[in-house]
Amino acid sequence: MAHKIGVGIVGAGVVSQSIHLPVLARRCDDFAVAAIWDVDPVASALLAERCGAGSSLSFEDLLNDPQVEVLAICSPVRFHADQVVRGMLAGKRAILCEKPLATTVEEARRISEVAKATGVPLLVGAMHVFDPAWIALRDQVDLLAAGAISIRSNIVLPPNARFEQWASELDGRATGPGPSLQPETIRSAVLQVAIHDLPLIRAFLPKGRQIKVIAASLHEPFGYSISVACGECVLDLSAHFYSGWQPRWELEVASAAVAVHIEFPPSFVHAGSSVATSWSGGRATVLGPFEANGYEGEWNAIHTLLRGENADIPPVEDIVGDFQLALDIAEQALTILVREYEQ
Amino acid sequence: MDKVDVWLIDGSGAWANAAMGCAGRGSGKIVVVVDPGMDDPDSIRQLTAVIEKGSSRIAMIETFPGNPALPGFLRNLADSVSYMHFQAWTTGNQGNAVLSQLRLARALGLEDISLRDICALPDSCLLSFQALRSGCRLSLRFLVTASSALPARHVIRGYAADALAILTVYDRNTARPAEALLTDASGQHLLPAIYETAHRFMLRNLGNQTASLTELTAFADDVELTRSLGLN
Ligand SMILES: NC(=O)c1ccc[n+]([C@@H]2O[C@H](COP(=O)([O-])OP(=O)(O)OC[C@H]3O[C@@H](n4cnc5c(N)ncnc54)[C@H](O)[C@@H]3O)[C@@H](O)[C@H]2O)c1
Repeated sequence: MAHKIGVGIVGAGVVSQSIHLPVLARRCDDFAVAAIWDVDPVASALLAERCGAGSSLSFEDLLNDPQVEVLAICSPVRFHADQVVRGMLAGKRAILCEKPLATTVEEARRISEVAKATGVPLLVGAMHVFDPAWIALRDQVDLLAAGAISIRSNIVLPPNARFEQWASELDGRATGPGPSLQPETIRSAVLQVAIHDLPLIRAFLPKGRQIKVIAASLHEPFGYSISVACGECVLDLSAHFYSGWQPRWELEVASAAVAVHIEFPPSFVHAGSSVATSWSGGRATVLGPFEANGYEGEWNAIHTLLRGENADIPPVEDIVGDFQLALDIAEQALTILVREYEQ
Repeated sequence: MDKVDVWLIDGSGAWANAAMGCAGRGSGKIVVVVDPGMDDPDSIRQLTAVIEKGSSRIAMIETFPGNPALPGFLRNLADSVSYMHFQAWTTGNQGNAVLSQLRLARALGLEDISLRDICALPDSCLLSFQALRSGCRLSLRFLVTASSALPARHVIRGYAADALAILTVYDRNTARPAEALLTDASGQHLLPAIYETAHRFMLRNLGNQTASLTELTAFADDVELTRSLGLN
């Protein structure tokens, strides 16, 4: 029987249950969930039992488990940097860390140093980077990257009980009241929501140019809009959380002669890839939907890597650059909002 | 006394002066300005005074805000819209696109539109405004992209507490009907539309579609605001 890559899951929450375990179950010929660890031992044990894996008693225990070759870090963000670094130093073969990578630039840099020193490949769970339609769009991306003049990222989500439970397939998934309209919310909105597409957006921004956040605002029931300038390109970031039923997740980029529009499925759902449409010279080309989604793309890349082939994953400098971009937008937007609220 | 009842004036140049000339050539005339552009706001206000004093009427045919799909979209736009996004794809200059966006905003019942921020670049711009709709405050954003990738159009998106609305209005070169898509708890509806440009719609209804003096003044205000932005 072919070797199955042993996976260790850190954190037994929603993302592990609704995103990674279903993908790994579909890829059971190539992967086996070896062990699960959560600070809550009951959560680890229950989930481990459901998927026939071992339940580790501590993070150390998981790191020392020889069957765990790859770590999927699905804990809250404040633990990511430490767990990624320890996983690399423990000699794991690859690390998949959920977004956001870290909480500070210093943490991200430390991860980068250790990744370079140990040579352990790192993937960040910004799943759209691994979406097959996005990957198929690469030629257009290269064409556009040289002359993008406007980028629009708009995320409409219905974070209500109906959508959350159906999307995650978890009963009783807490939804609670929406985020408040206090300035601080913009920071977490960027680092939790906008961040999904920032690596894609960064591919179109002029290299080596600073970004400048020109405006930021929040609106009811919860939404944000942020205007950013970078070189000769405007970036229009917005989101709207509402009680309706339809999610809509779009990214659109234009140059003087080419435009692309990508419509992604929302987080958690395993509904195939995005659909990417590009226009140039009066011709529209549609790519997708493909059967696999970005979550599967992440695990496909890990599988390819561990077979010793080129998986074309973003280099760690790009991963750190993506995180820096997100943090920069979040901090600048927060400064603007705080100033406005004080006036 | 000339026998002309309806004067058609091309709105791309100094149309206000031309309109004043026509309005002064006898009583009971209808002066129709086709696609009025960024003429001098003071001349437009002067024209208002001439129309007020005389017995001629004035009508403006505006490609985007005059599209026959707008009233239906407006009727169906949820009250709780808290954020509206206006996107223009243009092959012309950004100033004209922003003027059309302001005109569209007015046609959709937005008032007290005040600029908050502007990010203006050579081929694109992003503007934030605050506005009132039925007395409630909402955030407004205009994005303009000068690109030949797509035929010119305006896309307007309304975001409400429980509903979404998207209106796409195409350029006058095509009589392609506007698409008004509304999403609410009952489902998603594409409003009925017709193959008719703003021009034919206005000409067909000329008898009862003339502009009020307030509308003319509002046009002058919109031109003034657009000019002050100093866009390409
Ligand atoms: N890619 C996506 O689509 C997506 C979507 C949502 C969230 N996320 C990211 O996934 C991560 C997890 O989110 P979630 O929604 O599953 O959260 P969750 O709160 O549902 O689960 C987190 C789990 O981690 C456990 N935990 C807490 N501290 C821990 C520690 N120090 N070590 C190990 N486990 C610990 C908790 O007990 C909990 O079971 C976050 O980084 C989040 O940003 C990604």
